[in-house]
Amino acid sequence: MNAGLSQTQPQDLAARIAAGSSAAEHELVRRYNVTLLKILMKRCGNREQAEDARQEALLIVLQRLRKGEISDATKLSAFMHRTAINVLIADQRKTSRRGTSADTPVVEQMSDPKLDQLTAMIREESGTAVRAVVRDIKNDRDREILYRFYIRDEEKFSICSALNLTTVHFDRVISRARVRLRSIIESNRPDLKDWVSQWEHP
Amino acid sequence: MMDQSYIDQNNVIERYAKGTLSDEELEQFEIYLMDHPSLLVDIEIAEQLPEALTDVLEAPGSEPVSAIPTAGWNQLSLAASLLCVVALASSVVLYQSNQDLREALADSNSVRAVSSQYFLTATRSNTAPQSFTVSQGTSLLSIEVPPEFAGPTLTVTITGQDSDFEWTSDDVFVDAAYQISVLLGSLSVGTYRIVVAASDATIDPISATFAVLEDIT
Repeated sequence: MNAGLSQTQPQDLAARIAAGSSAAEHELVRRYNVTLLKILMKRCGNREQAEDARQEALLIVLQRLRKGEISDATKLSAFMHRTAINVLIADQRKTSRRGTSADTPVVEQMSDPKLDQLTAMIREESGTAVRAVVRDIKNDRDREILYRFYIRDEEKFSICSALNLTTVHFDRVISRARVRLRSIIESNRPDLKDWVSQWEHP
Repeated sequence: MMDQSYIDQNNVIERYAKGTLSDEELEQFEIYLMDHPSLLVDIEIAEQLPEALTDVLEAPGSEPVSAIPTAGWNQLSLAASLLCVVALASSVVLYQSNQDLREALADSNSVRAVSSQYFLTATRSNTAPQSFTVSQGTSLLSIEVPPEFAGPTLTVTITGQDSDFEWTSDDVFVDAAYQISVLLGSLSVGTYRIVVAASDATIDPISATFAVLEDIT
C-alpha cells in the first residue's frame, strides 16, 4: 500500500540532469513536487509561503544537479528535504515575499493541483467511510480509543493506562481504523488509486 | 532509522497529522515520506479523521462514547454478566471483532505479559500449543482467534488440576476474527490448559498451556 517510488534511481536521475536531460528535470519535479508542498505547508501553515519555498528549493537543487554539484546523489531525497526546510526558514526570517524568477517550463509544472485533488477526494469520502468504520467496530473499548485519541486528543500512554490496554492493542486499533478507512475510500474512489499510481508508474 | 514498521508501531502518521512528532522523528519521517509519497493518502485521512469522527460519534442519536466506563470495566462488567455461567472462578466472553486477523496476528509470535493482560495468538498454520506464565494477579487473557475458526460453534475449554470449565458460543459469526477475553478471577496457583475449538472438526484447535504463578515479576 505504501509503495515507494519506483522511478529512476536518484543517482541516475542526477546523472541525466547533469547531462542536460530536460525530461529528467521534469521527473525530478514530478517526484518531489507534491510531497514537498505537503511537508512545507505542514511546517509553516501557509500555502503561499510553502509554494514559494518549494519552488525555490526545487530550483536550487536543479541548478546544483545541472552543475553536478551534489556529491552523493543516493541521498537526493534528504538533500532536497534539507534544502526546502532551509529555504522555508530563510523565508520566514524575511519580512517580504521572495521574488522568484521563472526559470524554465519546469517551474510551470510545480503549480499542479495534485495535493488539492487528494485533499478533496478524502474530504468527500471521509464522512461515509468513518461512519462505516465506526459501525464495524463492535467493541465499545476500541471505539473509545478512537474517541479519546482523535477527538479528545489524549496521549497514547494515557489512554492505555485509563483503559487498561497494552500499547500493542492500541496500535492495532489505530492502525486498523486508518487502513480500513483507506480501503473504503479507495473502493469508493477509483481515482484515488490513480492518484497513488502516479508515483509508481512514471 | 525510520521505516514502515517504526511508523506503524509508533503511530507516526497520526502523530504527524497532529503535529506531535519529536524534531528527530519529524525530520526522519519527512525524508521517508519524500520517497514514499503514497503515505500522503494516509496523512490526509489521519488529518481529516478527527472532524469526520466528531461528526459521527457526536451526532444526535449516536452512542455516547465518553460514557463508557474505564477503570475496572473489563473485569467488573464481564465478570458480572458471566458469573452465573461459570462454575470455576473464571469467565469467558466472546465478542466479534470484524477486523482482518492477518493484521491482528502480525505480531503473533511476540506475545508478552503485561501486568494485567496476556495476548495469546495463533495462526492457522501454527496451532502448536504455546506455553506461558502469568502471575496470580493477572486478571485477563486475550486470545485472538482467526476467522477460520468461526464455525457455527466455538468452544473454549480451560482445564486445571482440580477443575475444568467449558464455554460454548451460541452465535454464528462467519468471516470475522474473534477476540476472546478470559477473566481469570481468582484462579489458584497451578497449570491450566486452554483450548479453543470450532465445531468444524477439520480445523485444528488453538491450544495453550498456562501456569498461574505467585509472582513472575
